[in-house]
Amino acid sequence: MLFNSYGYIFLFLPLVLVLYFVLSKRRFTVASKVWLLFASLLFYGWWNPVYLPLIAGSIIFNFIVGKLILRQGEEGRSSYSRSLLVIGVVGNLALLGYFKYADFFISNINAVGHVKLPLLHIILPLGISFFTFTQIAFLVDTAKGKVKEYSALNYSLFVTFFPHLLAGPIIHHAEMMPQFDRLRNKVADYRNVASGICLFFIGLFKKLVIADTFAVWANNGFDTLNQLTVIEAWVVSLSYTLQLYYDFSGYTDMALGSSLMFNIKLPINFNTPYRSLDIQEFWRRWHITLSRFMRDYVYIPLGGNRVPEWHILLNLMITFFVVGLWHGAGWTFVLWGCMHGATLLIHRLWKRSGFSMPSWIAWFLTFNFINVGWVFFRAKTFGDALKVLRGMVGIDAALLPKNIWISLRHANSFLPGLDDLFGRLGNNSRAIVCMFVIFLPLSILFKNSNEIAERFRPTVIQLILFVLVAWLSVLFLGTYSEFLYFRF
Amino acid sequence: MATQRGSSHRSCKKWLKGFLLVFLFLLLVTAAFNFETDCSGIFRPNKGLKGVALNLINGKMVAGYMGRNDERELERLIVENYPGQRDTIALGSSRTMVLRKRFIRGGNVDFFNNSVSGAIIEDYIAIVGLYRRKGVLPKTVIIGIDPWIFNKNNRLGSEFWRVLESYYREMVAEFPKGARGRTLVASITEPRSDVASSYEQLINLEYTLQNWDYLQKGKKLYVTDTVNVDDIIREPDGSVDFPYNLRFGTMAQIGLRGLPPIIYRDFEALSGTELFEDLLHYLKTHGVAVVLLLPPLHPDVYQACLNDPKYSITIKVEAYLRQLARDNGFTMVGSFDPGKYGFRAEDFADEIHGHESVMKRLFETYR
Repeated sequence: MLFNSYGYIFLFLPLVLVLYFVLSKRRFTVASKVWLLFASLLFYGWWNPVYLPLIAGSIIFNFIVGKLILRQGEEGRSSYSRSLLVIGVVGNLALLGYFKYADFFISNINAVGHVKLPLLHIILPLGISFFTFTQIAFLVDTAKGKVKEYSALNYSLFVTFFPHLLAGPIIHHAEMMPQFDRLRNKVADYRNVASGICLFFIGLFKKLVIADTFAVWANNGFDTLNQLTVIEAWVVSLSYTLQLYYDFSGYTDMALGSSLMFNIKLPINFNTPYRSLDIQEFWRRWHITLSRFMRDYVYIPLGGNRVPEWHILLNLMITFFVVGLWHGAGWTFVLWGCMHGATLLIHRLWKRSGFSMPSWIAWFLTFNFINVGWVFFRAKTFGDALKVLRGMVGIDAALLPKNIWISLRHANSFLPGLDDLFGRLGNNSRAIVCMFVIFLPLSILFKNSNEIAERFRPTVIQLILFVLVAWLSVLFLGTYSEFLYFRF
Repeated sequence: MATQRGSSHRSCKKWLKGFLLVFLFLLLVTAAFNFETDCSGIFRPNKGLKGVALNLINGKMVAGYMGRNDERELERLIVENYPGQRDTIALGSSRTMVLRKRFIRGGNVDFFNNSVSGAIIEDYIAIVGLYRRKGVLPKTVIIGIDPWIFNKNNRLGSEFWRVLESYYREMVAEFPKGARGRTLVASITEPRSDVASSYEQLINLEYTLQNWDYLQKGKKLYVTDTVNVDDIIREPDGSVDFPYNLRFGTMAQIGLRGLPPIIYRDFEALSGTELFEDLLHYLKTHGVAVVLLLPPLHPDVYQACLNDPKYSITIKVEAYLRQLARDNGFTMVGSFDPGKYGFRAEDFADEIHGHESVMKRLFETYR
């Protein structure tokens, strides 16, 4: 089930919420959790029930391995529990590898070995990267002795809780499991419900009104046109940069908002990332829970900062290689990850050298690097990426479209019309200008949705504002779209 | 502290009630507006459609916007109310709508163009089903083909055919059983209720804007004596004159935007060929001559099909259709390649729609 569907907004969420608090109020604590678990599985199975056994199997496997590790206690933590941990992690990675990377692996063998092994064409189950990583973290922490006793119900709910199930945030058991048991959370908190609703509709608005509008221009540029002028190429790349931010942060807002209505606080995932002045700051603000996972479960186990400098740099590169590969089974993703790794490496050396630069130059360089990086992230092939990049530097085509000269010859004004500049990207060139003028600064200079939700006040102005946001977002529901991060 | 929390609790509760009330009120108003205006006849058939059908049958032209559901309903009314048997009909999408009676054998034929916007294979079958149920199958069926009708991910018009679903089902029931037939329906239509998807339009922005536009322009369907009206005009032969921007527009005015992603989305292999062949087989076995019409694409778009792997499936579709025509003795008119007939950019209104002159030239040699 999608957050941006009529069924979720008007039926699923209200029904689950009301019944959850009715059961909790009557002190049917276990029943309320069972209800939430059932609802979460329904939410997951709505897309394709075939994958329900997959997630159930994954939960049972990890639950049993975790229990076996826990049973070893302090004494057995050295060898047996380590073996169990290896089995658990390998099992999870094997599952992820099969569903996500099998065809990538086969096509690379075909390319290198000049053979023709048939591709498996496996459909990626929704959320597999997210629930697999959540459970790997759980097993690692169990082996480290950071996990206390837990029940099957709490564990299943922790993994499947529907707001975070499909595209994160990647949650940590320590911040989630206690929330399901906290007595105060069993009573409906109208403040949480109100700010949860506001956050949800901000997210829906970001997704449907903003991201999906930018998506049209990004898709036309990346997938449809064969050659781009300089202006078009920049519009296309910036459209995708904004689309991705508003899409994914919008999804996260909806997840956080839905969860908050149940008095469960999920970790924030975005903190105005395009405001960053360097690449390190960017990764502290972008997909925060993934950065946290990579730091705790990849970078630090590799040695983190406690190793010689060359080793730190290598660790950084390896971590970002994994980040790239996590996002997708393709070399464009790997290149994107390595670009970020290499830039972090340069940033580290730059910081050590003691040089500095004015903030605005630092922001400009960082933002443009991120923008160029997203070109590889978005492109289906290197050819598509190069097409956009060549357009951005004006290698392939002129600065302006060909038909602008025709227009100029016939026009009274020397100023080209907007349609001449952007007409090939979308039907409404004015909309392109308006959207950039409004939403580019909004993504950088203003309060983000989490800050807005935190400072929620039950005032009339906020009521009018949020009703309009909600109404407009619901009207946009009819347009078909899926979240970008579902494919990761 | 407790009092403070209590008052905050109360004010939030009050705020929530207010939010839900105003929000639901706005949705209700929107729904009522869309239900009442209903420019596409989604919630109840347009009462004026029968009049439109009778006017067309009586040789008059009708102008005005018509929703996609209404277009299909109109086809039903025309077929049901037409007193005779047609010699030739045309099926297809908006790309085929400009095929006129006068282009075919100098107009000496009882021809009707049954093309509907966003047509897919199900539409073809359902419309043939209209004639089948009345027992008046035409002698010749010209099938205007868009490459993307074989794209299972084409989301253009994938639900509108359901207006004529019963006719479609009757047709499919006559197709050979077994491996052939019915495959496309299962693959392209989502398991969702018709009624639910229709009622989603009550609170849909696009439909709200369409209804608003409809009211603003005060556009009703009306009889016209002339085609010199900047509107959509349906001629008595079922063919369509588009509004001026499409009718006379050139690429310099419109701007080339490439092939719409909505129809070429994930178009990697041909789907629905069995269903399509079942239809052709049905026509052939019932003595109906089949003409496969391939309206050309804009030259730049066709160039993209040649050069870009994303669109190269277009070439495969044409090859498949030519082979099919050869194997079954079907007549073939046109080509997706505009170069074969010497068409240039000026001959096209946009990326996929040729002007009527294109259709006229395609049928110059048709006998």
